[in-house]
Amino acid sequence: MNNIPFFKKSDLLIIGIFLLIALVIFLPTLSDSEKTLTAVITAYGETLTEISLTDSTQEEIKINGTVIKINGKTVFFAESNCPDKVCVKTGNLDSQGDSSACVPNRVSVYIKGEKTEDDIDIMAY
Amino acid sequence: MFQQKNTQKLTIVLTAVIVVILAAVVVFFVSDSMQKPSEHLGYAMGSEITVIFYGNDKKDIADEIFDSIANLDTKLISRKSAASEIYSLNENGTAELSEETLGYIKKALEICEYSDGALDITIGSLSSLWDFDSAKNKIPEEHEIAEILSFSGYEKISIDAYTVTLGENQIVDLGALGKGIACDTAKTILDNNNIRSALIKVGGTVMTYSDTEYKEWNIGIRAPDATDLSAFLKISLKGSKFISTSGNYEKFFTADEKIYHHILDPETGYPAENNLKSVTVISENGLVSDALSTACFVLGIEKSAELLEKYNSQAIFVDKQNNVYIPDDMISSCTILNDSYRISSYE
Repeated sequence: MNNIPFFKKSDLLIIGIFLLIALVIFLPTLSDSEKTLTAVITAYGETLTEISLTDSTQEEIKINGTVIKINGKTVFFAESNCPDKVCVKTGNLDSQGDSSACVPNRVSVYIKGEKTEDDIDIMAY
Repeated sequence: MFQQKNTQKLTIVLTAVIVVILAAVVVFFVSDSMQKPSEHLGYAMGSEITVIFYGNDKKDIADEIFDSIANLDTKLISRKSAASEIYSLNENGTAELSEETLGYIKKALEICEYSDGALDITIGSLSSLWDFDSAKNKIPEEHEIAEILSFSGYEKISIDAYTVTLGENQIVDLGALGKGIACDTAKTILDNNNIRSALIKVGGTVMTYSDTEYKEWNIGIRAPDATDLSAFLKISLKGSKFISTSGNYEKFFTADEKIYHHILDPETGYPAENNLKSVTVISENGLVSDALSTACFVLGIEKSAELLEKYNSQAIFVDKQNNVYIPDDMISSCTILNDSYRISSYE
């Protein structure tokens, strides 16, 4: 009687199958998320370029009458030929979720990055 | 002894099964927020439109949303598009409207009434007189304002079946509600396509969308004084909600050292004066949240309470001294992110 093992092979198999199912369910959630902030520049709703923002990033992008500058981790519309200049007045974008658009020229910039629970999903104004 | 061991084994296996099922349920509810969002941008209604999906990308649905909002604007509610029903109504003083446009007018008129005229969709001529969209920055003459006010008044609109007739010289302007209505349009499309979670932004009006009440969203509210786009407040909301903000910083000009902003008081014909910088309204409907943010800005904090209760909505007011008035039951879900603002509660 005492020689009967607590788990038989079939029991271990069942437990193994459930552990495998658990692993399959959780595996996708462990995939790498973005670690750095990225400036996404779009024109007419289509993404033109994505630029990783680091302390040394220096870029100037000219699109549809606008000039977008990236200075380190800060992005801004430096110039625009639009009448109201709302995009230029918007100023610096430097945090995830920040965005600015030149509606007349159909150009926009937004910053995406690592998502954590405390991060802001979207800005309202 | 043997039977006891079998019972123990059964307990362990059953526990494992329950744990796996629970884990699967938890993952089902939170997995969307763990996946990379896919963002789509479009333009309509003179605004940028953002559609963000979580989980699988759905570009075709984003395109459907952009097209529907463009149609809503140019064919139904724009006062500038010559092809729209509202344009026709304003041109002719009367028009037979579609069921959809009539529904917007009726709902807007209801809010005009419950807000005691703080929202008035017949002040189109007054908005044109001030013309904050242009750069002329001119204060209208008193007699010009008085003359226009003599014609305005939502109560002069009459409705007979689908035919709407305006009062003499009236111009209807649904501009204060347009972006909210656009979010409602987007919601219908998301509903029809069984989307699990998404974010929509039309101009500055935001809709959170989720098929469960458990999904939590963090909404940043832009600081009224900020020269950049930083948020002064983070609001955590669950499920599907509409968030609209009206502020005196959106369109304004300065003359004689005084700021003239675009939120006009339909009673005086001048920009609303009540020591407020901004009002953010959270509702279950986009038209309502947009309409109430304008109405509450005109009404001020105390007079807004009844209106907000009527529409089961909540509002956050920011005054010119940077006091942020948050309803008691929302304080725990709000976080001030900028030291120059202070929370004050109100009933």
